[in-house]
Amino acid sequence: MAPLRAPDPRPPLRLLADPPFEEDRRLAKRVAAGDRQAATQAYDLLAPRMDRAILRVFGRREQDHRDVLQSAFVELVRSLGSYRGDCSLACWAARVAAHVSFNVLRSRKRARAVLSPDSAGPEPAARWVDPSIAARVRAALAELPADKAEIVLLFDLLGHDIAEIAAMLELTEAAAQSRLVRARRALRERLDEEETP
Amino acid sequence: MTDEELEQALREMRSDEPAPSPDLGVHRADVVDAMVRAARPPQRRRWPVALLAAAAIALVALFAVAFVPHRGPGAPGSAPSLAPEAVLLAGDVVVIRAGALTPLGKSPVSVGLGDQVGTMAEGRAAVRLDGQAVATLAPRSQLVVTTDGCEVRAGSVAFEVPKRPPGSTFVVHAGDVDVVVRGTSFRVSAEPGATARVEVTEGVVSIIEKGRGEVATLRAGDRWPAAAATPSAIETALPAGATSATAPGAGSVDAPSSGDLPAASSARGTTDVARPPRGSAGGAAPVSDLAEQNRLLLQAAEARARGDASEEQRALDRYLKRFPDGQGAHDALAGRMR
Repeated sequence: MAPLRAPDPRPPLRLLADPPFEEDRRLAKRVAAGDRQAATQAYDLLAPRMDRAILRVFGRREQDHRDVLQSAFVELVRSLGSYRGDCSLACWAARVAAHVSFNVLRSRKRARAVLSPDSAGPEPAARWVDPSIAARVRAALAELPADKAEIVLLFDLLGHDIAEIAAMLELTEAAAQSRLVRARRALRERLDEEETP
Repeated sequence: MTDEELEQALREMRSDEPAPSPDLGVHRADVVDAMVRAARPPQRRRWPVALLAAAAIALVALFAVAFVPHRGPGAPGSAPSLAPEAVLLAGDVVVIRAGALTPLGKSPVSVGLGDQVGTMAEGRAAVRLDGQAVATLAPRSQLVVTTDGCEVRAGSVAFEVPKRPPGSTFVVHAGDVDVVVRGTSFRVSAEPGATARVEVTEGVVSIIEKGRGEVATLRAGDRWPAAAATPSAIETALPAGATSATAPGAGSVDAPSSGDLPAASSARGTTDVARPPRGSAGGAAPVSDLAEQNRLLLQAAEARARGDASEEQRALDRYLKRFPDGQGAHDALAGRMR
């Protein structure tokens, strides 16, 4: 009979799992360090996603599209110190691009309000230019708080699922779902306000 | 507009796939140039400042040795400049120097730049840093001595930083967060993957994120991030990279992985930091090392299963020597300290 041994109080030794987006994290690290080759690689990898995100926010290709894209890439590089590989680099980049685009959209609205106060009523100027419902939704999105606009864009326009969004925003899936519901409600209320004469 | 109408509109917008821009390749070189420029912030002349500071400290030390009469320990007004050392408070504590692991006994052990102090499950230790700042490590914590203060790699660490002259700071690094304190009481704690939290009980603390600069100033009773605060898109897209706390006062800080605490007047606080997320600068080994890490851990686990304690210890020693900051270092330390 084998001798009895006292139970080992130490925690069991666990093997290490491969981090999910390790390749992306390493690329991000190189880009953040100023590696030109990595920056080129990142551009080739991410430009289509960021381009798409910007087009989704504006609904069309604006004159300064190239400048917005470049600003988004610069902002992306500045953000990479915080990228921990919880989501893919492409998701992260799309989110940064959307954020930069919303900022541009908001600054334009502010500029319009200053330049022509008469047009700064409850209806965004975009509605006059393009009365389609899509234009109204985009205009209303630009007036929502950033976190609400962002989650609607990520889910409804860019097509990310809740799990991806939760990873991007560092939320639980339940919290992301809850934020999406609140954001849609706020968007609908904003659209209702516009319809009210 | 009804929910259905909104849903329909969003669906139409989603199905209306925009044509990709045709000139993405044309502007690639310009954008890449901008990216490289953005990745290289203006060089800060840190070395000249460090050299000047070192010269000033040396002068002050010479003056003190030459002209100030010695007083007994604890004499009123005395501010002894003591060498950094680690003191065992309870349980098992180890000091890792150049990959060599030494259990901390009853006698204090001098620690220097790059030395790591780790506490086991029931272990507690105090580390005197930078002459007077004292860090108290809770169980399962790791602290590394750095040139400007220390780095908390895991667990929970409380700090008491005495008052310093203006311009002098004490920095605690914790993963992506830097906490800079000039005199405060605070607490930093974090969980893997969680955002750092800071609570100030005295004084003022500045929260600084890497790449963004100062993002908040906290006073007594404040917390960061504020529970009610709704981070903007970019704020959530760009989670705290660095946190710095500058304070005359006291408080608590919960940070994810690293923090820098410069103390300009007097500081007291606690830093609780969980193991840094994978890939953080704090310590995850490159993924190419993962197989090697697992091989060593597996050797140790198999030796433990066989009851071969000496082989288990050898495997864990090899692991800790090669991967002192590896993802399994905490478990290996615990296993090594049976």
